[in-house]
Amino acid sequence: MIAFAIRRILVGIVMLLAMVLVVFILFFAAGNPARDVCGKFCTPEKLKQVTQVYGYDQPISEQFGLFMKGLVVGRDYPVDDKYREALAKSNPDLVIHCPAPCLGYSQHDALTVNQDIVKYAPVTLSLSIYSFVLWIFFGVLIGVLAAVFKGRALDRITVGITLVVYALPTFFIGTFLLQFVAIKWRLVPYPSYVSIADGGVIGWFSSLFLPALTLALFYMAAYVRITRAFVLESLTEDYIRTARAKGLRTRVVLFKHGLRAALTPLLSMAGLDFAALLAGAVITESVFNYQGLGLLAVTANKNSDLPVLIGLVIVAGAAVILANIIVDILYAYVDPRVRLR
Amino acid sequence: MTRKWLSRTAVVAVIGVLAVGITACSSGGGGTTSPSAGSGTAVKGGTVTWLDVSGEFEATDPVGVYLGEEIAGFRRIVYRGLTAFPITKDKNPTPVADLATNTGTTKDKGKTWSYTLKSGLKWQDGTTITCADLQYGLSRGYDASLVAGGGGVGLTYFGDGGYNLIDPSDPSYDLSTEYTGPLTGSATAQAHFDKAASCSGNTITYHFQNAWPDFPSAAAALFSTDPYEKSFDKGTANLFTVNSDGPYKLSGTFDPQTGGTFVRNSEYKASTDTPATTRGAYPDTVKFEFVDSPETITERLIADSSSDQSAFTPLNIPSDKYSEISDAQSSRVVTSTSPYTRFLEINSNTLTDPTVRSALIEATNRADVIKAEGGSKWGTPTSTIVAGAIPGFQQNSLSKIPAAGDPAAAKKLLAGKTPSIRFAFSDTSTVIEQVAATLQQSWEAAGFKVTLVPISKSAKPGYYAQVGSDPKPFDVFFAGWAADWPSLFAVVPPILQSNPKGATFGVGFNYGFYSNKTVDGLIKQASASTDPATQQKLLNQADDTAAKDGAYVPLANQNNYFIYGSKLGGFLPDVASSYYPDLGAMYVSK
Repeated sequence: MIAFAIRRILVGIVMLLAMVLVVFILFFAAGNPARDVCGKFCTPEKLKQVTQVYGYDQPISEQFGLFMKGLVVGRDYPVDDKYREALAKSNPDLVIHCPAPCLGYSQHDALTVNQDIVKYAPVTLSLSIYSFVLWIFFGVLIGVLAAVFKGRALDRITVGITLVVYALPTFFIGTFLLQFVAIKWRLVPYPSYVSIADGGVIGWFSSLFLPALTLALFYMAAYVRITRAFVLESLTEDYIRTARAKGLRTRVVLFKHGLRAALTPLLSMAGLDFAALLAGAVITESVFNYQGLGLLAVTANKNSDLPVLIGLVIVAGAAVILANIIVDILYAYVDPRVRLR
Repeated sequence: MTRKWLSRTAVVAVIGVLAVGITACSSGGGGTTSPSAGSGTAVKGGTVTWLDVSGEFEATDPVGVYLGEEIAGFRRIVYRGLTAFPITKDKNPTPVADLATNTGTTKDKGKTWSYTLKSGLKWQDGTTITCADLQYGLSRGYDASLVAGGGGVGLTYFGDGGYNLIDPSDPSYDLSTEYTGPLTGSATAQAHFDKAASCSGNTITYHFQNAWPDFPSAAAALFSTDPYEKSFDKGTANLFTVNSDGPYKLSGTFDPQTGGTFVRNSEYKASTDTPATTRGAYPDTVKFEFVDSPETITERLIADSSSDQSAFTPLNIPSDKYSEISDAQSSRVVTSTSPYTRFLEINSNTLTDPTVRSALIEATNRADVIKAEGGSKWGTPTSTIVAGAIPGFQQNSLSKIPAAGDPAAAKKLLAGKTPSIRFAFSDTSTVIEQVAATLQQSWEAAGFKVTLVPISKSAKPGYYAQVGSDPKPFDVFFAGWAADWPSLFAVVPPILQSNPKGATFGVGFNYGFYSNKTVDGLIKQASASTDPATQQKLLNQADDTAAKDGAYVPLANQNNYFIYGSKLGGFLPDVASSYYPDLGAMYVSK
C-alpha cells in the first residue's frame, strides 16, 4: 500500500512538472508579458525598463529555473536583482518575500500568488463542499428511488427531468436563477458571498444557496442517472439473487448488498468531480461573481496575469492528482476485491 | 483610454457592448439629452452606490489608475489635484484651482509652471500636505515597478512627445531613462529630478523641455501631479490602497473584484475647497459594488430595488438591453455624446499606397457599422478621430463621404486593382463579428479582397499587444480613442505623431505606425503656440492632412446611454468627468 502511494505521488509530481513546463513555455513564448504592464505611452526605453524590473529580459529557461527554485526555497520580489538591491538598500521593508513553495507574484493584484490563492480558496472550497453535499445526497437518493421504482411513474418522471437538467448548460441555470429568482422576482436577496466569520453559519449557508444549487443541479442530474444504472445493474447480480433466496428482507438486500456494490464506482467519480471543482467552478463563480479560484483564473486570463495562471494550473493539477491517489486507496478499502499494485 | 491599457481606448471599442466603460480619457457626452443635475435640491446623507464590473479597476493607487471614469470619480472623493475641472453643464469649461491657490502661473509661455499650495490641506491621517508631497507623487511615475495596468497615466505625457520634464541646470540629462523613481533612484538622478520639479516653500515649479500650454487641464484631468505622502508609500503593495486628501476615505479595503466603501474624511476641510464647483460631497457613504456583467447591472437598475435606487453605473446600457428600457424608466435614462471615437487604424507599413488607403475609406459603410452596434443610441457617423465633445472639434475633408460609403468612388480610385487586405478585430461578441462582416461586405463591393482575422478574447498576446507591434500581419484593425483631457492635444499627437525611431511597438496610440513629416510639423507648431485658437487650427490641420493621406478609417463618435436609480439626484455626465456621471454632483433624494 505504501509503495503504491509513493509511486503514485512520484508520478503525480512528474506530471505536475511537465504541466508547469508546458504552461510556462506556452505563456512566455507568446511574447513579452511586460508589454501588458507597460502602459499607454510605452516608449522603447520604458518597455526595456519594465521588462528588466519584472525579469522578463532573462531567457525563458532561466526564468523557469528561478520559478522552480522559488517553489523549493522561496523567492524575493521584484525579480530584477539590480532594482531589488537598490530597494533593499533604501527601503528594505518594501522587498517582498514569498516563502516556499512560492508560486510567483502578481503585479495585477499586488500579492504573491500564494496569497491570491489563499484569498480566493475559501469561496471555492465552500461552494464545492456545499454543492457536493447537495448533489451526492439528492443525486444518490433519487437515483436509488428511481431504480427501486423502475418503470413506474416516479422513475419515468425522474429520468425525464434529469435528462432536461443535464442538458441545460450551467451558465443557463445560473443566469436564470440570478436574473429571475434574485433580480426580477426578488425571491432571494441579490447573492453575495458571506463568510462564516462575517455572517455565521446561517449567513454563509444562505449566501451560497443559489450558486451551490446551480452547480449541484448539473452534477445531481448526472448522479441520479448513474446511480440508477449502477443500482439496477447490481440488482441483477447473482449474489443479490442468492441474498433474496436466503430470505433476506428487501431493505437489507438493497442497502447492504446492492447499494454497496453500486456505490463503489460512484466513489471514484465523486472524488474526481470534487477535485475538479476545487480548481474553481469557473462558470458558476463568474455568473454570480463569487470570488473563487475559478473567477481568479478568468480574471487572470483577461489580465494576462501569467504568474497567477501558472499558480492555478499547479494547484488544480495537484488537487486532481491528489484526489486520484486518495480515491485509488479508498477504492481498495471499499471493495476488497481490488488490490493495489 | 481603454479599460485595460489599451483598452480604455481600444478594447472597449472593440468590445462594443461594454463600450463605454473605458477611457480615462474618454467618454462622453455633449449632450443630446437631459442631465438631471440641478433638477432637484441636493441634500446631504445616504449612500450612493457605484455599480461596475468585477476586475475592471486596475488600481486605486493614483499612479496606476487609468480609466476615465475612475480618475473622474476618485478626483471627486479622495484625490484632489492642483487643479480640477468644475461640475458644470458648460461644454468648454476651464480648470479651477483645487489644492493650489490658482490654476498655475507661467512666465515663459508654458515651459515652466508654478503652483502654490493652499494652507490647511491635510492627509486623512492629519498630516499637512506639503510641496515635497507633490514632488514625491510625480516622482513615483518614474518607477517601472509601479506601472502595472495604468502605466503611470499622464507621466507618459511628460516623458514623451516633447513634454519631457527637465532639469533646467542640465537640460541634456534624460530623466526618463536615468531616473527610476524615489524608491530606487540614484542620488544623482534624484537631485536632477528635484530640480526639474523644484520646491520653494509651498510652491512647486515644473520645468518642461517644450512649452505645455494646456498643462493646467492635464493637471486637472490626470493624477500625475497629485501629491503622495512618502510615509504611506509601500511600493507595489499599495496598488489598491487609498490615502485620501478629499472628502471621503476608504473604510476597510478596496477589492477590485468586489469593491469598497468610502466614508467621510474628518480631516478634509470644505473651507479649503469649493464644494459647489468641484465636490458636493453630499452622500455620507460612497460604495463601489462590482458584479459580473453590464447586463446584470442594467437589470438591477431597471428593477430599481432597495439600495439600487441610489445606484448608478458609468457603463453604458448594453445594446441587447435597449429593448428592456420601457417608458417607466425613461426618467432615469440619459443619453449624451462622449469624447470617445471608434475608427480603424491602417498599417502604413503594409498598405503603403495612399490611393488604396483612400479607396478603403471611401468604401467603408459607417452607417451599417453603427446599425450593427446598436443604432443612434450607440453612436453617430464621424469623419475624424476627434470627438465632437472636444473643444475645437471640426469635421475634416472626409466628411464629404456619405455615411453609407461610396463604393463607386472607391472603385474609381482603385482603377481596376483588387488589393488584398487582412482585417483584424478582437472577437469578443457576435456584435463585433457582425460589424466585421459589414465592413468586409462594403470593401468587397469596391473590389478589395478581404480576409477577416478574428483575434480571440483570450489570445496571448492580447489583441492590442498584437496590433500594436511592428511588424504585424494585419493591414487594418479596430481601434478607439478618447482624450485624457478635453483638448485636441490629447487626441491628435498620440494617434498621428510618428513613432520614435527603433520602436517595435506603437507609442501613444499610433499602432498603424503612420508617419508624415507634414503632420509632425503641424503638431510641433501647435505645441510651440500659446494661443488656443492657433493650436486648435494647427491640430485640426494635422488631422485633415492625415485623413486625406489615408491614415485611418473614421467610423463613429460614440454616445453614452446611462441608467440610474430612482432616488439618485444630480446625475450629470459632464466634461469634468469625461462625460461619465459626475460623482461630485450626486446626492440621495429624500
